[in-house]
Amino acid sequence: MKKTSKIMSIALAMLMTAGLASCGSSDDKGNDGSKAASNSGETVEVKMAVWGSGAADNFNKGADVFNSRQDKIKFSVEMQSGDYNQFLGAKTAANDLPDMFFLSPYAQVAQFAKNGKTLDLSDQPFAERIYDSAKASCEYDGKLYAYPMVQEMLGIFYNKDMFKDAGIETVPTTISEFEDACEKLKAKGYTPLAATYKDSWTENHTFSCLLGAALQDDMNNWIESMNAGTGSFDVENADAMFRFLDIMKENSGDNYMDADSTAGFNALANGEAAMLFSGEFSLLNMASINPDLPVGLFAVPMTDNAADAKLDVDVGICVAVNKDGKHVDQTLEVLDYMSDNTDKEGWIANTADSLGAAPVCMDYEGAYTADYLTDYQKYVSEENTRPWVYQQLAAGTQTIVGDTVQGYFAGSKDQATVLKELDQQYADLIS
Amino acid sequence: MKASKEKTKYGVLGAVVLLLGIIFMLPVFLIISNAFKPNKDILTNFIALPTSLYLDNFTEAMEIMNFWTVFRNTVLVTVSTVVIATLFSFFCAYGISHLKGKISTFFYMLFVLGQIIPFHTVMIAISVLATNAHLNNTLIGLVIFNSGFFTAFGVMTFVGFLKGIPRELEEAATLDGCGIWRTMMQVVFPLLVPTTVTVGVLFFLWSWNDFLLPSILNGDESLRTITVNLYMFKSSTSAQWNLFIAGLTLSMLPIVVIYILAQRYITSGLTSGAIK
Amino acid sequence: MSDLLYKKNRKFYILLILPALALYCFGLVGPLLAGTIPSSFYDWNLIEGNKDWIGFGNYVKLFSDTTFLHSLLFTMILAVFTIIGTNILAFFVAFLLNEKIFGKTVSRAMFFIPNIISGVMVAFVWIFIFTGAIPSVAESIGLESLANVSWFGTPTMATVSVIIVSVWQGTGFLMMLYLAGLQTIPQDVLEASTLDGCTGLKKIIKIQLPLLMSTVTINLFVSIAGAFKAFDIPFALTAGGPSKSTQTVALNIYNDAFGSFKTGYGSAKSVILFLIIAIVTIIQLSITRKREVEA
Repeated sequence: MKKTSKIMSIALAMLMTAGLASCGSSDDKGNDGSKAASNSGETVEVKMAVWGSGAADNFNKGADVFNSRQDKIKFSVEMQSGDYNQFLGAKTAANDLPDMFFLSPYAQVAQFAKNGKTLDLSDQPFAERIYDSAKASCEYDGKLYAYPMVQEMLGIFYNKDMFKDAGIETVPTTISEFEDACEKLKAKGYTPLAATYKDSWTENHTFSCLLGAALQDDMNNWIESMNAGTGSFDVENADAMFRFLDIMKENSGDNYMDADSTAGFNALANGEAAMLFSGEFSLLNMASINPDLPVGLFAVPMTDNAADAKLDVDVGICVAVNKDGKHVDQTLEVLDYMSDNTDKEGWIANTADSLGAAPVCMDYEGAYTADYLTDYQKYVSEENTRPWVYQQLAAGTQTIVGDTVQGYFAGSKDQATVLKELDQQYADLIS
Repeated sequence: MKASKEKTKYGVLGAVVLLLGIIFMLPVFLIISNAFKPNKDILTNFIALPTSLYLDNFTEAMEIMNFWTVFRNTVLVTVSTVVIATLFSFFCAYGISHLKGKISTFFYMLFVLGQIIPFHTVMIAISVLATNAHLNNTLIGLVIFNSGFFTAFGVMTFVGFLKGIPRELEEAATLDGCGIWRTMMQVVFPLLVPTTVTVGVLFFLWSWNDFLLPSILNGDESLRTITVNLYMFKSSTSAQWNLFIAGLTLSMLPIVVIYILAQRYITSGLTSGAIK
Repeated sequence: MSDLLYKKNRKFYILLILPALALYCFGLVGPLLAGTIPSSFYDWNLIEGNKDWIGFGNYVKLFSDTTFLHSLLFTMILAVFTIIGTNILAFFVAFLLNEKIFGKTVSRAMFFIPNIISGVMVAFVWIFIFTGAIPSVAESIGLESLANVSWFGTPTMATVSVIIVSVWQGTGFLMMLYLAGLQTIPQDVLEASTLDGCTGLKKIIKIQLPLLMSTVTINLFVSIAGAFKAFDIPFALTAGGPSKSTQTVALNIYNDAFGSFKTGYGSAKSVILFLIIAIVTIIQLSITRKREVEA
């Protein structure tokens, strides 16, 4: 009996090892095969790493269309579950980056370009098509090092039915109108704002928008001073920023620190709250919960001046090409497919033209219409937008801002402490 | 009289422990029960029982996760890791506990120290090493690294339990003409069945649940493991709770079964019988 | 055993050590010695690729890093509560389950099963339990004060939440080891002690606990190492929030290394964490191992 079990266990071990070895070797063969194939002009695989989000399904559909049209290149989108930065770090260290990969705009694109990891894309066809305003997010040393794939909007999404029911005729454009709207909603028994504050990245988005509203035309100078190490988060209009945060706290229901982003997104979709301070990505979940909810969008009204209420619109995803990739030519071909705004059934149609999808950074006549998109287009056509502040600060800013401002929401830090800590931590960050 | 009093005592104690156990299990029950509910019901009432046998979560989660591929990969990696790491740990512990002098303490401490290394501290280095050794995007790479990590715990545990085994037993076996290999495998090893099963089950769980290592080593979708793909439903900006919970239920199932099967061996009380 | 025999067998014992040693060094010791420790002496941003030797610069810096120091403090608080909580609960349960009580197979499984699910995954579900299940249960039984608790709203409550989930998850594992340990205690020793009139608490303290010391050593060690490395549960449950108040050292290192890619600085913190755990566990081992007795 004992002998049999011993033999069994050894046999099992050998079997498993053999099984694994065969897996490994078949893979090797696969690799060799693809290399050989690329030489003879047959199918090569182009991989694009993307971060985890609710949009993965759309990306796969976009890739399928490309693959069904030709058989020379197999375009596959690999969604990295878990922490994307961790994936990037590990792959960079190992010099094992995929053919194409998502990067965060500005700082991260610049870091990769500086390190010589990404290909100069200045001469690619998309460079002619994208808006000039989108270019800065992908530039380093005067050259384009990534394709700005989509631009995202941060603002206040609201339930139009609830607003109508509460007797709010026009969307608030000043702080007093906003407070007024909150009161009217409360009077009707609605929770004015959906809380998302358990996830500190949402506080970073909020604070960044408020900084933009506080800085207005001074934004570029301020960013420059921050990156030179001479600026401070204690900007002239800081009091107004914190007043807005206070209003948010007062109008986000009970136990608002317990709600994470998904809970907040669902609260708007389910009709549990009237407003949500977030981006268009917050509506992705709505497709499965309440796709027909009429949702509008307005810019954060932080000051008494209606002209200050600009929508925060900026590039959200940059696609970089691995300079040392095995199939650079094919990768560029895929990139051209992804950035073709004349293709009505291609990448853009599948990934940037539905509920909660971010629009592209170039002219594109989409088939999907929604109230919030109409509102967004109005802001864009009137040039009533401004970029996101935090993306242009040093890499890592989002974490320190989010975590510190979260302390203000939780009531463990006051305004002075928040501003002081932000300055200290930012100084550490750029040192 | 005395026997019945004892019976009552054990009955009452048993009921108390059982109640505590049920409280402990509640979160797990909640996971399973919510797996059968549509997303909206999960969000609005987490504790309500499912009203019908709603299976869409499972079918959708399995499709998106590429379930059978990742399941196969996870089984291959986990079973190999368990066999290799458990066997090697036992060998190593046997060697260490039989060596005399400083060299024994040195090896013991070396393995003990391994347990206090947080994985994140070596993650970057491992990623570089795996690429240089061509172990990235392979299943065998996962087996090698996991076995390496797990032996730290395995060796330490086996050494601890080997100490509890009277050395006279082995000396007697040697006097009876038992060779050194036979003494180890046929006299000592059977006494450690509970320990071996325990260690094996733990290795199984750790390997099955491992997320970080497979996520940095294997980007290829055909080589991913079940836990890695479970994350597809929960990113920092969005969570599809219904699919996540259904996927979690599916990925839990094999380890629950393994544990329940193994429990019989752990409780079989082989050791005490043999020592007598 | 004669010296001659030992000499003959010595080679065999060393040979037995080798396979595990090779895997272990390749997977863990090598990367630590050749990767992490050297990089802690560099000012190294992984993505930008600059790598400048700065000697002990990173180490000097971290002693004035208030976020790091706070994470160290929090880790110790968490460690104390979880180590004590899990060990007491685990021993208590294991002890009862080792008796001939009613329904013990089922009970044992129920205590262990929480441990078999990945910590990260289960912590996500606990968010629902804290914010959904507990309030609705509390409301239905009329406990308004419990229903209104904001489990993640303040640093204190967030800490309590992390401790609850950590104890819940960690108990089963230690229970299993205690149980395995209790079962290696020879039945005749216990029977003899009962005949000598040694029962109840006296039996536990005088007979079982001393014989169990090698298990206690392992369990304390495992829970100390685990508590100081704590990452999964705070990461998934609170993400260190609110405002970093529940950030453990491992989480802090992780944010440095992967949030801002400060690989060199993160490595230095890792080395410090490693040293702290080493010191604490060596003290613990030297205390508990002295008390071990052989059956």
